[in-house]
Amino acid sequence: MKRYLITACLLLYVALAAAQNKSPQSYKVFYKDGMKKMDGDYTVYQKDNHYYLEIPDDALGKDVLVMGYIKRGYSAAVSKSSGIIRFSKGINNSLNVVRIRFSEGASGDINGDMEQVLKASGLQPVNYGYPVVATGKKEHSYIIDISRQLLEGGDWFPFPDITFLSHPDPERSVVEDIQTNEKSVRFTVERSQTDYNKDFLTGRDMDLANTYEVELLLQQLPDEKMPRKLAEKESPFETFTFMDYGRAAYTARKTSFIHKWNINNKIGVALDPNIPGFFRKYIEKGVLAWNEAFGSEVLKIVKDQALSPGRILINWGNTNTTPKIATVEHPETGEILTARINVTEAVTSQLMLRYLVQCGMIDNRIVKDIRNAAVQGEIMQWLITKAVGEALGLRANLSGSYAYTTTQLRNPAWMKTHRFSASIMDDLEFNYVVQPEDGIPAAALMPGIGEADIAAIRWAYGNGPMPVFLPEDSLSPITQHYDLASDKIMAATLAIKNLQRIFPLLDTISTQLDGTEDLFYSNGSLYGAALVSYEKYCMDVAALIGGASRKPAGIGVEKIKTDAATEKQALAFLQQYAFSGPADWIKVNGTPQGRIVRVQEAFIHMQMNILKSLIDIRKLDEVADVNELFGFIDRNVFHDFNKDKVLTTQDRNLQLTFVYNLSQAAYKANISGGLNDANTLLHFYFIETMKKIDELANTHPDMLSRENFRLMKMKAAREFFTKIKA
Amino acid sequence: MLHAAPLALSAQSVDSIPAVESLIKPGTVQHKGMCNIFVQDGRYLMEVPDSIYGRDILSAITIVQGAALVERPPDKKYGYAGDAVFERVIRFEKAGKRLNIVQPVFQNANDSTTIYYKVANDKILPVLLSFPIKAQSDHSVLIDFTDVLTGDGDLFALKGAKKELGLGSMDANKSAILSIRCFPGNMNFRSLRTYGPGENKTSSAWEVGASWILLPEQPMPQRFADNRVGYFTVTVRDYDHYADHPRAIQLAARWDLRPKAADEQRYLAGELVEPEHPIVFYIDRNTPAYLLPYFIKGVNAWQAAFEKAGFKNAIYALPEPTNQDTSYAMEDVRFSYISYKASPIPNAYGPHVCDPRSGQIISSRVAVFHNVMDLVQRWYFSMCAATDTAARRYPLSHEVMGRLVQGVITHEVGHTLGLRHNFGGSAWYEVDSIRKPAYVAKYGFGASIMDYMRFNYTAQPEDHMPDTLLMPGIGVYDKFAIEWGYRYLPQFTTPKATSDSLEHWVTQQRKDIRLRFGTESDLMDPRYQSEDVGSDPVKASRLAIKNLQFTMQHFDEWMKSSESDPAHYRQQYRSLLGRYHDYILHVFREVSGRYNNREAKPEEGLLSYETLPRARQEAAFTFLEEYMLNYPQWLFDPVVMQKASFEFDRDGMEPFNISLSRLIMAYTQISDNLLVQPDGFSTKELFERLYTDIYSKSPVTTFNRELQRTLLIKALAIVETPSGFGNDVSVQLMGMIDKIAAKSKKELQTTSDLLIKAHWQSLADMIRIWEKGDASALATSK
Repeated sequence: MKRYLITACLLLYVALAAAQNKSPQSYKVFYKDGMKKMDGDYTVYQKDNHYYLEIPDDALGKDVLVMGYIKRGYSAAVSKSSGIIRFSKGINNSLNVVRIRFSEGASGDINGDMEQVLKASGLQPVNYGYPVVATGKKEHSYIIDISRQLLEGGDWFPFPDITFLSHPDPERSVVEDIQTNEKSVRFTVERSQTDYNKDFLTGRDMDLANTYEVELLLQQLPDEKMPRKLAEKESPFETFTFMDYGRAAYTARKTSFIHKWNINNKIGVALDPNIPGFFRKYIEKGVLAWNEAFGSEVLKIVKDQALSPGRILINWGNTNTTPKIATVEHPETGEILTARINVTEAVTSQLMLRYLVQCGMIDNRIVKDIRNAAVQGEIMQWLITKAVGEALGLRANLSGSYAYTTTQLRNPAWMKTHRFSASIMDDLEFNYVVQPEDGIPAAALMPGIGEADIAAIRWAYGNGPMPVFLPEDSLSPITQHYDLASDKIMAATLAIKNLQRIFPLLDTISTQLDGTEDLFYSNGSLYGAALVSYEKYCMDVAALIGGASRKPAGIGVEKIKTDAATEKQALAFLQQYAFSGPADWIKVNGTPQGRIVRVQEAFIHMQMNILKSLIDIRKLDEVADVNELFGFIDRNVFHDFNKDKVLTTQDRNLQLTFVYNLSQAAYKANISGGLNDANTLLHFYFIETMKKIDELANTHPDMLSRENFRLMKMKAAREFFTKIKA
Repeated sequence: MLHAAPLALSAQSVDSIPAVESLIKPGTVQHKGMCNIFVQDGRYLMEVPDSIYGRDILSAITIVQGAALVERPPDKKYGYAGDAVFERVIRFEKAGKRLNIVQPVFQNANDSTTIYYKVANDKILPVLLSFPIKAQSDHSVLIDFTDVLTGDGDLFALKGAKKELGLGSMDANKSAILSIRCFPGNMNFRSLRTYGPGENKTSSAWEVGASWILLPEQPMPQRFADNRVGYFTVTVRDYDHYADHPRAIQLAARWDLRPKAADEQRYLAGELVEPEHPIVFYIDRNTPAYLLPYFIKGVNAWQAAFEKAGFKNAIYALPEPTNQDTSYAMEDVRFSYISYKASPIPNAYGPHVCDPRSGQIISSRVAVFHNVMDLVQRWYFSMCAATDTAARRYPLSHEVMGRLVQGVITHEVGHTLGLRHNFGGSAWYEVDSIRKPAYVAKYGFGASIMDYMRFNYTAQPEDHMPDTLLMPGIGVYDKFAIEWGYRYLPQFTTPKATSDSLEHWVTQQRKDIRLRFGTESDLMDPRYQSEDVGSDPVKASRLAIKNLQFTMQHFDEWMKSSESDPAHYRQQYRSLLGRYHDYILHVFREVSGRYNNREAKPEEGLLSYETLPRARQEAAFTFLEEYMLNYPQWLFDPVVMQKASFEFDRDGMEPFNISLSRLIMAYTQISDNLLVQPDGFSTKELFERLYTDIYSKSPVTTFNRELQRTLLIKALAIVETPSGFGNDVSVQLMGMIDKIAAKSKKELQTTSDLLIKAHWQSLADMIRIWEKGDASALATSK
């Protein structure tokens, strides 16, 4: 190619904005008397209320973690803006900052070297540009003003999602401490702001001030990056994805990699000094329990309280019902850089009640003392282990509790070598299938790290094979919440037996209540807590009917439906425990505190939930024997439309409510919008039912029942027949 | 022509303008060329020579480095390095003490003897930009164009592609001019542009190249398009050649190929000569090395076609020059380029930049997305695994993939030469012929690579077709089209005379049926379909399905090597299924379509449309009954389905329902056809046969139930639409609905299975709801 070139010259890059940055001051001009200097790899300068940061030339292009978290104040937040930035020399005397955006890459070389191709269309935008105020004393270093970053949040350390810390007043913000360490600077800053809002105590609208102490960290990360860990299938760890041009031949696919720690340098876990001494030992045990899974002392308790890379900080406070976990990850490698867990004693309160009604007959400590400290400590230990599991990157593993049979869970020898769930990352309560006669020790009633957790850790952090993991599927009996065992009908039967045993004692135990307990989720009493568990056991069985699970099989997926025999057993269970009315042992009228226990109402509530599950349009076509199912409903809700049957108020209530729900369900999936097996079945059953109701509305001998059937017709007409238009 | 001029100019004196030399300070950075550019005190000054006033300048924008984006939506094909994203033509005009940039209007209005000449030329050219003249010399003026250069406009930045790229506002603080290069006939400006969030939701940074070139002073001779030869076109209004009835005429888009002056006589004597300016494509230096030879072959394949037009070495590809070669720049609109893009889009495209005055193609930027390889390997497997053992290998060898991509390149380069899709390219070859290796070796299996005819899926294993003959190549139509567009015809002095001569030539040539052009916008003609081969869709699809059956028999065995990549296994199986449905769709138009010959000239003696023979319609419907209305058990092997995570109810039924719906919805075409072919396939037959085929089967399987439901739902949807009122379509459907109602009621009485009962009940109730307008009729036990 020969072309006459007149001139070709690169220009000095000049920003297109009208206003141009001033040239940087010399260090001599910048660094004057009265200016404080804190030496470090990133030196900080302070003059009055102005703060400056010196970025060395060799830090340009390096990964720098910027992270803020609330140290003191009513919040557990790690700033959502925490992440990785890179400095670069910008145009027009500025220093640029890029927040890493990573959505495309090549994790292998099967398609050759794709890096240049990716680079050709992978220009990272500059997120922020800051005027270089001065050059540093060291040659080629850049001093920028970071006052706004510290006092207001700025671009690096804002807390935009914390309402009362989203716009701090710089006049009231104070930098309390600055520490320069190796490749890092840590600032402790008090930020205040005022919002015109309703005062909780007086109910008046007024100016309300809020002050938080936040810790802000700027830490350059090591050059050597943690290798990514590929998640070829569904992974027990949280994942991130990018369009991967290096893994499969001739194609780019979204590929998942897991979030994990770089455990070359152990994981330090710092415990808040405010953690009450009593809980401290349980929390420590809960943390260190994971070392068994790692097979070495990967987690260690450290004294330094600062949140920093390689560190988990456990704070006491700022949470109520469950521990709160926040992590910061590297967007390119998935490395979990740091994590924070917030916990208080309040996270155990609901579980103490559950433990009482589920395991009280096995562990007498809770019967004697519903606030038993040791039990509370053990629950805390479990919750911390689970929280640390989440901080280690583990996902909720809802199939963990499905791994074992009730026979295994009741076998003392077997339980010596196993926990009752294969994974502590399942939503668990306690080993409620154990019977008093089984001889299982109380320690085995609490969740602990299971074999699925160990397999997951050894895969992610070692060389173990990738374990099978089932993601949550609300229609799968395998991945239900708070359930237990693979033979669910037996599990529920055993659990109800335990409830039956504890129920007579609840009257006495209730005398221990002093009014400070939160019984909101227990309908106001220990009986309520037992009834909540009772309903849950029945719902676990209802989930079997029409349930279908998809499990990995070879390179594909196998769909497993509940077989007809199991469904039949499940219906028999429901008939016995849910639709035959409350057993005598469960019928109590009131609590020692004078509270009325509405057992019948609770049963109607449970029955309706079960019926909703049975006619769920998403699984109706998976039911093995629909005749059996519809027959069950006819029998248990409508008494087979027998007009000689004398109906009770409860019967009428159930029938009317069910018809109302059925009409709505049939309308939502109505046939004029399209046809499929599930909605034709529902339609058919609805129409057949309404025909029978129509007849009873005219022929039932009891006037109240007749009127009730008429009412059902009206509800069905309003919710279905007159609503549907061609 | 008159030009709009700002009023402010009128009262000033030209004498008050300083001299250029007096304004330019010593040491100022200068770039000299087509215009001289001075960078002085942070301002950009352009010295515009008087000689380019009135000259048409093409300004084109190219992405030099694309932005990192969080997500690349599959419908957004632009945003990568090498993309030409905007171009426009401008012209400098002097107006007193200002220099304007105006938007030219292009028309054929040069003949002052025509009656519309005066009015055609009495137009005000819109002023796009206006600059005060800062200084002048005896041959130039100096303007300050800093604001235009640095602002967000379409001459230097990405404003012209803002919507396509999903950009917000430009952030001037994060944008910069990177370089300026000036040459005698062109200028290149490179800049960094940062845009805030727009449709993209995130900010983005781009390296942008702006290229300005002077268009030829004398435009290339126009060639009026002939709609019997598929060329892209540009439109101009013509007052010269149709003086009494001015009209918009289409000019074929084509490169300016002509022999060197010294070779002209030899050319005219029939000797092959090299063109004065050959077409050169540069191949992206980031293209994987194993693909480079195939990219080059894909381009060079067109040389044979140009030889028909009298040129040798008319087109070729070269590796992209290195960064050190300062005479080359990606953004320079004079250079053609094939870029290789890291993109999940399974596609490629071949655009071109045109001179709007003549249709001259200035250059082209072909894009090849990485995942087009995924697409072609799926196609090749699903169509040719039965006949080419290499197609079964995972991954395909570089050699096979190279040849597949070579075909893609040749097709896309065909577009850059001006050629449109010719969906008739595959229509003229007998199926029996394209199964014979000797025939295919001589003629190919289609007339045009500009068709989407993919691969020769009719060849059977026993045909022993060599693998090289399974892939398409440049065909007889392509050579004919190139000759039409590129034959140098200096003997004609006007485009009209050229056009008249070529029109006659085309008429003669088209006696060879293979040279007929089929537009992709024809949705009726069974000959003009995408993805098909052969002149008989029924025969071709039967053979193709036979190959699919063979592939399915061995699928699990052949896929052993891909079991380490379950996603690949899943994908390949779904590709087979997709292909099965494609083969079914190819047959549809044999039932409902008709042949269109609208483009033919009267002297060709072709009817403007022809219906299909009844026997063909019959054969096609029989095919559909066999393959669309019967469950193909062999295609749904439980072992394969499990490995492919495929569930028939969830994943497999929908395409059958869609196809059935499409067939029913073809009632309008079938009705129309009946008006001119009373003995043709009728809607009555369509509905009766569908009813019999579908409702004679027991609804014990999902497949049968779903077809029964779909037929009823579509019938209910059509029966009340006005388009169904004509030709008794609605009443025919009423009859069918009555039959379904009666059958449902009857079956309801005799069925004991609850699911089947529910099925019949729902069909009957659906009809009752439709009849009554609501569901109230269902609320009774009577």
